Amino acid sequence: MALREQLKAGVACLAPVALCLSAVVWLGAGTAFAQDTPNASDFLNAASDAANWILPHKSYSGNPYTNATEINPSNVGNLHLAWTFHPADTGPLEVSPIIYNGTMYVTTAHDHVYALDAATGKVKWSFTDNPHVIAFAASRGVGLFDGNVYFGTLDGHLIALNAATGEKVWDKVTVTDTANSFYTMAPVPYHNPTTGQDMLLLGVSNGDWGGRGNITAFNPKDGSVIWKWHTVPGPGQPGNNTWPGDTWKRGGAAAWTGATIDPATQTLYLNLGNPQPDFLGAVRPGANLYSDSIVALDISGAKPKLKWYYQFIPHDTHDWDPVMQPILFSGKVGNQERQLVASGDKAGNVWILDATTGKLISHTPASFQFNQNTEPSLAGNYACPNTLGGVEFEGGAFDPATNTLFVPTQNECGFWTSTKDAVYVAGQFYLGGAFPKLVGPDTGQMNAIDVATGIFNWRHYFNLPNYGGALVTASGLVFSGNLGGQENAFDTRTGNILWSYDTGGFITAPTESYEVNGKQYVVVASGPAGNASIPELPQSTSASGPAPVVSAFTLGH
Amino acid sequence: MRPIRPTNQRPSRKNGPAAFLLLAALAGTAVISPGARADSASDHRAGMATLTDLKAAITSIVQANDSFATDRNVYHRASQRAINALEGTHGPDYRPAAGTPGDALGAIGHIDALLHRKGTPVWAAPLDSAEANMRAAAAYLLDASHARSLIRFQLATSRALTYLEVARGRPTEVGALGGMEGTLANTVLGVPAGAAVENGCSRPSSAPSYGVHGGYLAWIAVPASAGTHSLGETSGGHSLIVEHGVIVLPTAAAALVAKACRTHAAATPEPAPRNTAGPAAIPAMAIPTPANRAPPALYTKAQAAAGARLFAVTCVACHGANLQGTAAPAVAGTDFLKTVEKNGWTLEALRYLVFNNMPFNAPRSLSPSQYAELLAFLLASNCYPAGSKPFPAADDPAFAQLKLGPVPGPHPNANQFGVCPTG
Repeated sequence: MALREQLKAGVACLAPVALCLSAVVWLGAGTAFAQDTPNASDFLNAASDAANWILPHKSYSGNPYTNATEINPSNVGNLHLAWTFHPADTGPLEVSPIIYNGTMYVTTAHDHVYALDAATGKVKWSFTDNPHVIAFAASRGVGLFDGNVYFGTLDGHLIALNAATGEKVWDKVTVTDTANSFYTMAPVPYHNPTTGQDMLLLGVSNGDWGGRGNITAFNPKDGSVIWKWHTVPGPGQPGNNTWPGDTWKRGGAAAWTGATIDPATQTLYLNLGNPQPDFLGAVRPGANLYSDSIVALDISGAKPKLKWYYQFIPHDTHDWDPVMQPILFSGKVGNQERQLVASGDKAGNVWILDATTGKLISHTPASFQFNQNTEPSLAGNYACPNTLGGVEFEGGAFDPATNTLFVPTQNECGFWTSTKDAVYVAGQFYLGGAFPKLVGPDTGQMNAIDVATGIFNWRHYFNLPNYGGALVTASGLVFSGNLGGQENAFDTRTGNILWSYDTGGFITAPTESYEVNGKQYVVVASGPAGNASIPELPQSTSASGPAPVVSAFTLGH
Repeated sequence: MRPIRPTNQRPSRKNGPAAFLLLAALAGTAVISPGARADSASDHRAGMATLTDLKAAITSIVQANDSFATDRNVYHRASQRAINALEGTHGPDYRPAAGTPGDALGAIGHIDALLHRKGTPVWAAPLDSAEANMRAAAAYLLDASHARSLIRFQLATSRALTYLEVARGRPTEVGALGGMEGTLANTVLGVPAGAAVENGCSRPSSAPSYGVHGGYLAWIAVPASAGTHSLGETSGGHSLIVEHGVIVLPTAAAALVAKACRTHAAATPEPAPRNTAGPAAIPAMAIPTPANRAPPALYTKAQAAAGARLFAVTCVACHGANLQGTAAPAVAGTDFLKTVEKNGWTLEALRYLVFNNMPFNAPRSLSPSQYAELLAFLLASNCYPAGSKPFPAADDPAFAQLKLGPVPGPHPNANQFGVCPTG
């Protein structure tokens, strides 16, 4: 079924009534036909569909919020385990499961893909890839579109599998340099109504290995490139003068977290990663655009156009990239309802900007911050948070009922060292120093930040970091997983923990909600801590940590 | 093994690389075994594609030289196009803007793919040498792609062409000097898909057909009937034999095969007359092939054992008990070594990474002697031999010259990942 035609039928209803009516009927038939994957209008309506979870952060707005209300503050205490699934892989689970029509698609650290029955956790099919790992084994999930499951691999492939059978449809190397580039992000399907073009938006992870970041739109039919937008401006482009000499060539600014889209204006909001070499600022004096920035790109045309950018940390020397996927929402600032975009960075800041102009509305330091303006030296120095602290990629969520932004954060500190020079070696870190040595206690918080003022409504303190992102329900709950393994449900208004469950693994994945046959489920993945390992974590019986597990919860039977 | 960047080096003697690579051929491990079958059609296609890419690289430079252009971009672009043809779209120096006259894999990519297998076909040694020469050429082409004057471009490209011509080789030669053309003319790599293959020790019983023995191609037979009969590749033979309505073209390897057939035993052929050039004649640019260099002993067994204990405490959580990686990459075995070789890592690059960046959450938290023990454990796990001299705790400048890669030779104790035991 041609998605393009369906969408035209769905939105471009300027024709006489009779024509429109027939188009709608036809659209209904098309939906019934394409059972396996969502179509373009499903993506536009993803936020209000409580049954399915078809984008990593629920909808194009990047806000993990469900209007499901079956699970609420008065009955959440009865939430119990519905099923677990143990994938046959090692490494941490950081996946946002994609759930559509009763099937859940899960990826594991080494790019295994599992299609599960969302009601039972039983495997429908699985696909195993064991690619060469450059540095960090992680997969954040799949894109579901056009009858296929799409995912990027640790060795730079983009692969399409048949969503019904798991058979490979096509497989293509889509990174330009396999020595330093790979994929961890989930491809984001998008239909451009102006050009009629279907695409998969996918950013490359190459920002600590000497690459130059890009976001690329791929054709879902064959993986061919529709457009590519480099995150570090080349010679002759605005912003190139923020990089001396050739440093822009290995400038980093990877687009590796998530893509937030405003379909009404066809604006793509992207957070871009740290500049390189990470810890040696002396070789790249300048602001180093568009590293550590949020960019708003007009993607209505044949090529993206930069509308505005806001650089959170000019000339970062601590790998403090803004890794939280931007949340696009309508919130109250003072007495005024405004279109806003929120984000967070690993330096521990939560940012709220005007979504139309990119002007700063509020800035809330949410983690312990120390000595942030001193660059790492040869002898070394202390700063907080460290590279794993602050706001992490699992991100936050906005609750319209309380006008509150819920953001998990970590308090971690580090001892940083730089080197005299940064030498590029293919396939190795390009740091100009070393990742920080962990120093002192590693703890976490759940923060409720009032959008109107940028001030905390409440904070909950944990003995361990709180990586698990946030999921808000319309019934007044916020779910989040703690690194120690507890999945927690808070009351959005009071911050009281109403329910807690030990998953048996360390949680570095976001929480989601979905429904099968009208019954609401909550799901979260856990496993070994991977990069997030800290000395305070309980010792596991296995040398490689707890086994990866996906846990789903529900009420009653 | 990878070339050293040629910048600031003295020009090599005109026949330097050729003389050296002949030695590589003599050290080759090719063994004729009766009954060996012709290799798959995809090998032949890859071999032909290698030659096509190689020719495209040569053409690119020759055309630029013949253009008499006054715009330096013409020369820079031609050099880059030649690099692209050699390295393919995944090469370290690939730049799409210049265009790619070859295919996506590139000549080097095709050879890497061909050599990535168990066992050592007779064509492995010449292909290995051809790749070494292409890489040397690519290094000079990189200089040419930034050349500030025509004379510098011509100096750099003439050196590059010397290497490329050796890599292209000639069909009259068997072994390293034959290059791609010699390999396609004289080994099973030259046999096209679907062709009739016969025993190279006998005369043809049908035509067209290919006579193969022990991986070498002894002759090509075509019918003596009227008409045009196409030949797969240029033949390097000196004569034509017409008998029983068949024309037989003996290849340059025919004498070699005949001798092997006479001895009946699976004898090692004498590939070429011995060259008298000793090691002194090897120029600085010479690139050893992996097969002819014994890996150095860099650590003691006791160190490796201590490193194994340290690894089990400090590294195992991310790199896995089997060293194949859980949250972090593999650090030993076939896949690891292949990538390390592809990325051109020296021992210094590995040493630096371990000493300065590991463990990930606590870099530089071990003592230098502990890091040395870990390096010893990694080398042992990667099948490098132990010796009497310990791995040093301090930096050794020689490590920057030592390229890492799969250690030649059988490793009977290696496990399914290609990891050698350290006990």
